[in-house]
Amino acid sequence: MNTSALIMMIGAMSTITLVTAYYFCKVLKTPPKAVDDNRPEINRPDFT
Amino acid sequence: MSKTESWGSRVGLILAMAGNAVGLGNFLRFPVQAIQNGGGSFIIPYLVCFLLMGIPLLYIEWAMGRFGGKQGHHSTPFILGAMDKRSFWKYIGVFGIFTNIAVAAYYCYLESWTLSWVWHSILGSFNGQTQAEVASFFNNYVSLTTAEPIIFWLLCLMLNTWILSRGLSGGVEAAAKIGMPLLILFGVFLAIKGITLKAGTQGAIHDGTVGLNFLWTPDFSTIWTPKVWLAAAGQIFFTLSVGMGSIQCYASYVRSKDDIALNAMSAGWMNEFVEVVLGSAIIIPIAIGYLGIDKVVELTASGGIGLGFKTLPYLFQQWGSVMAIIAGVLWFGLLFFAGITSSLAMGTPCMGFMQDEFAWSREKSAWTFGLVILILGLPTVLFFNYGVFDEYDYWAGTVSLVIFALVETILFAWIFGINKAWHEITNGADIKVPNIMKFIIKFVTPLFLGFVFIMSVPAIWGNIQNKDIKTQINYINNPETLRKEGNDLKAKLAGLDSATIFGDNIQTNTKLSKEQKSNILSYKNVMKIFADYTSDGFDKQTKLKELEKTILYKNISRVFLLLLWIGIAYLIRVAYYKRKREGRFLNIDEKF
Repeated sequence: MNTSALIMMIGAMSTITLVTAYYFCKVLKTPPKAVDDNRPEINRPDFT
Repeated sequence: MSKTESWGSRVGLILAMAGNAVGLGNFLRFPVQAIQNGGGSFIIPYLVCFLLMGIPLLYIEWAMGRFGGKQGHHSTPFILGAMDKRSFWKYIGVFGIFTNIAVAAYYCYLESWTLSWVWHSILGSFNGQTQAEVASFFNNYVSLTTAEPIIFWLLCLMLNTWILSRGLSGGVEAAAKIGMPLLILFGVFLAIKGITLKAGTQGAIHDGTVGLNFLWTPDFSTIWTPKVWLAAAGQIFFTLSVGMGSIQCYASYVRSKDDIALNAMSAGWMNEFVEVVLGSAIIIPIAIGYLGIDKVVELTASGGIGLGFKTLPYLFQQWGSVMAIIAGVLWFGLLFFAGITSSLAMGTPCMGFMQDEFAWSREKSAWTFGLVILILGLPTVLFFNYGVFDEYDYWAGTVSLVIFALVETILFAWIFGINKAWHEITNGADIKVPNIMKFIIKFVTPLFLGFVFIMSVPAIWGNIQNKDIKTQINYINNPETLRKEGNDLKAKLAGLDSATIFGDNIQTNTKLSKEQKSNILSYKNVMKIFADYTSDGFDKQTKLKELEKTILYKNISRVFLLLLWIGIAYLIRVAYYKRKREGRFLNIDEKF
C-alpha cells in the first residue's frame, strides 16, 4: 500500500474504533439513574 | 407497545439504535460511494458531514423523541405537534410514519434475498457456477421465475411482524442483542479474510491490500467538488437512518431523566465503526483481489447490490467448497442481521401511533403493520424489473429523508427554540456536550441540509420527468446519437493509443489523469450500449415497450406512495379530533 493510503486508512479506522470503544465503555461504566419515570399516563387513550 | 413498554437495558437500547442505523448500505453502498468519489479523500467530506450534520441530527432526533415520550407520544406527528401549537406540524410529522412504511415495504424484500442467499450458500447452489451463472441466478430470482422469492419474502415479513409483536424489550431489543454482536463477529472474520487475501493463492490475482490501497488512496482534486460533498452528505443520511422518524420513536421510550447525549454518540459511532472499518474491508478487497480494479469499477458503476449478490457468491467458491459455505453464510447472514435490525425499527413508529391514538394492542398493531407492508410491498416484488423498487427507494428512502430532516431541524432549533432544545439535549446527559454544538445545530446543520436539498432539486426534477428512461428511448430510436457521443468522448482521448484505451489496468495507470480514466470508462460504456442497440439480435420494439411499461409502473408507484401519504395524514386528522373529544392534549403544559 502506498504511504498516503496507509495514513488515511489507519488514521480514519483507528480514530473511529477508539471513539466507538470510548463511548461504549463509558456507557457500560456509567451506573443507571435511580429516577422514576414521569411519563404522563393521563395523556394516553384508555387501554381497556 | 403497551403503556408499560420500555427498554430493558441501556446496552439493549444502544444496540437496537445502532442496529436501526446499520443496514445493508454500510456494506454495499459506502465502499461504492467511496470508490466513485475520490477514494480515500471521500472520507474527509464524509467525516465532516458526520460531525456537522449527522451528530447534530442524532442529538435533535433523540431529544425530540424523549421530549415526545414525556408527553406520551411515540410517533412524529404528535411529537412535532407537541413542540409547537400550529396544527400543520402534525402533518409534517406524517413523513415520520410514511417513510418507515414505504421503506419497510421494499426493504423487507431486499432483506429476504439475504435470507435466501444464506439458504443457497448452505445448499451449495453456487458450487461450480461461473460468474455469469451466479449473475443469471440473481436475475432469474428477481424475475420471479419460481415461487421461491415470494416464499422467502413472506417468511421475512412474518419474522419481522412476530418479533415486533413481542414488544420492545422482548422482541426488538432481544433481536438487536443477538444480531448486532453476530454482525460484528461475522464482519471481523470476513474483513480479516479479505485483507489477508494473497495473490496467486486460491485464484486471487491481487493481494487484498490492493483493494484497500485503491479505496483509501486520497485524491484531493475531488475534495472541492460539490458532487463529492453531496454524495458524502447522502451517505450520512442513509447510514444513520436520520430523517425517518424511527430514532424519535425509539428515543420516546427512554425514561424522562435518562441520558440521551451519550447514548446518541455511542450508537452513532458504533454505526461508523461498522461502516468505515468493516464496510471498507470486505467487499472491495475481495472483489478487487479476484477481478482487478477495472472490472470492479465497472461493476460498481450501477451500485453495490450487484457486487454483493451476483459476484461475491462466485468469488467465495474460489476458497473451496467448505469455506464457500462458511463465507456465504457469514456474508449474507451479516447482511440479514443488518437488514432486520433496521426493518424492525421501521415498524415501531407505525405501531406506536396506532397504540397511542387508537389504543390498539401491540399484537394487533404489529400484525396490521405486517399486512400493510405486504400490500405495499407486493408491487416491489412483482414489478421489480420495472423500477417500482427503485422508485420507492428514491422517494421514500432518499427525498423524504432530506425534506423531513431539514424541517425538523428548523422546528427544533428555531421554533421550539434553541435554549429549550439545548436543555432537552443536555438534561440528564452523562457526557458534556460541547457548547459549539448549540451553534452548529442552530446555524450550520440547517444550512448544510438546505444545501443538500437545493443541490438535489435538479435530480429530483429529472426523476419526475423520467429523464433517464427517456434518454434511453431516444438512444434506441437514434443509435447514431450514441455513436456521436462516443466520438466526442474519443476526441477527448486524442493522443492515447488503442492499446491504452482498450487495455487493462486503466485505473492503476499512473500516466492517465483522473479525467482521462473517467472518459475511457464512459467511452467504453457508450460504445457497448451502441453495439447492443445496433446488434442483429436486438429487438427494438420489445425493448421500447418494456421502457414505456417502466414509465407507467413508475408513475403508478408514485401515485401509490402519494395515496399512502394522504391516507396517513387522514388517520392523523382522525386521531387529532379523537384526542380533542377525549380531552387529551398534545403538550402536557398547553391544553388545546
